[in-house]
Amino acid sequence: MSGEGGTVAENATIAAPAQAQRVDGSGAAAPTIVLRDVSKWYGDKVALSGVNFEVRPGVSALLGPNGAGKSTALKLITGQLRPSRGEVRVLDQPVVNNPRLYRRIGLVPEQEALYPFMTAREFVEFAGRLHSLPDPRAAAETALGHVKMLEAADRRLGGFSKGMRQRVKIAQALVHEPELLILDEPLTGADPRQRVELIELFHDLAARGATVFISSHVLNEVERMGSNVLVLVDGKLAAEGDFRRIRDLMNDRPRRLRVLCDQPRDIAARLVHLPGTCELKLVDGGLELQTDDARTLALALPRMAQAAAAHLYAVEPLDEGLESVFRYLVQ
Amino acid sequence: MRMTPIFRVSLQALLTGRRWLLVLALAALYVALALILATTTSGDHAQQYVSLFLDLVLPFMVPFIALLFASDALGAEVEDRTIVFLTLRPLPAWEIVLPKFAAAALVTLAATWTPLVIGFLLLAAGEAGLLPAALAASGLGAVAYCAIFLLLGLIQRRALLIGAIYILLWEGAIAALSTGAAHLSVRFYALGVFVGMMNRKDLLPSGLASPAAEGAALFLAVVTVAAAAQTAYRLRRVQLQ
Repeated sequence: MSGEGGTVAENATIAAPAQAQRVDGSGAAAPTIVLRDVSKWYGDKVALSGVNFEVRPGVSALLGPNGAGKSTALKLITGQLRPSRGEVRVLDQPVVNNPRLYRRIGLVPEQEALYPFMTAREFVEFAGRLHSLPDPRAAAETALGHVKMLEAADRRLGGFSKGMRQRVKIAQALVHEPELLILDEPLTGADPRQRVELIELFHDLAARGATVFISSHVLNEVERMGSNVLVLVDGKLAAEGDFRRIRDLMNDRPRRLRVLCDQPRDIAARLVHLPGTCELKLVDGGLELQTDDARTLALALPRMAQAAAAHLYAVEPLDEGLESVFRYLVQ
Repeated sequence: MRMTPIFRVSLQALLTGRRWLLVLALAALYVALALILATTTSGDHAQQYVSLFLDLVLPFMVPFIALLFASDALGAEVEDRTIVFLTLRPLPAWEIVLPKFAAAALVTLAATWTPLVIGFLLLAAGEAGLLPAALAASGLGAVAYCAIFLLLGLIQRRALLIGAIYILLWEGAIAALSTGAAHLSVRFYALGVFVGMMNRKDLLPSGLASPAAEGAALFLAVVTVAAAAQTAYRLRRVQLQ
């Protein structure tokens, strides 16, 4: 992705949706994935709108709330969908109607369905055979080893838990050692230990020169996966760059809070003068407000309550949902 | 050989699917009718075998068994999206479609021919010329239906419903009433093969119109190849939202 290298934190950009641009001063490897002015619509519904980005070797994440267009973007990149407008190139080739390119790509799709009558080993070996590998059995063994599924390799997929299915899907995508591994919500259903192991695996693959492109709607997951992040909101590229910079911007956003207390009028009278506080209103059992500076508010509020001889019962965030965090990025 | 594993997986999927129950019900219905006719009636049993073939096997049993299996062969994979485990591989589309078609055709033939042979043994064992004609006509018809319904399963989510309407409305009602429409039905050409190959024309209803067997067989082969080719063409163009 853009911003590869040591100076990515400074290079991160948060851009207006239509103009989200790649900021790249790193002279990194050639891009593995290129989207140029890509739009995709289904009838009247716009799934992606004028999206431009490049993804380079390493671990990169595509972050966004559900319905933001992540899966559509991944399907365009893997040739399952054709763009309504714009161009998608993968490994410097067009991806639509180009099956030979799949020799170099591995996909871990989001859907859970597998062939329930097959064992994990049969399934991964099957993938190896379709790639015409010289020794699909050995390749399956190696891939299942990567995802720590050798012990359960001879059990039928129909009886697998969500986490086990995810790991088998990853194994089938790795069996031919692709240059580009695309994963749609790969950590769904994995327990904390499996998550750590899978993230380590993604970094190992990247260290060997592969491009690992992961979609997720979970901020914490992405934080651990890598520093390169693309944020999609409502089908538009909202932010692109280093995760730490994006996270800081998310933390700095205005927040709406509910303060549960007695004597809310006295506390409100004091809060009016606190810098960064606005939209104060009294509600049943306390007051609601918006602040641009949550840290200052957190320090000041107990002192104000004390000064007003009021009891402070709780401070609740009103907009901590992921959706609101993402929406802030496109404002 | 990359097609062998796809054939095997497709066969396994078809044999473990729930549609087998419906297929078994259809086959059992035919065998039960043949058994009833053989044991409770004293008329010309060979005549009854031919009537069952013309009124039940060709218009309903063959197309419905083909529909149940073939529409599921690709349709089920499109529905639950396991199709990506086939299409996102470095394979030409025909290497996916051909084994899928072969698996659907094999189970359809097995499910069609088995009751036909049992019916023959029950009703027309003395008329050896009837069995090859019934097997050839139902077989060529089944294979053509399989190719058509494989395509339908790929491009239509409600393939089963649309296929059933097609069988009942077009192949059944409209083609039976209009000779022009009959020329565009698989059943008409399968009938041509049966009539052309059988040795007891006296068992056929009078005034039964049918095409010459060779032309009919050629037509069914062309339909099969065209539908399979169209499926391969569409496979990499179907957009999965």
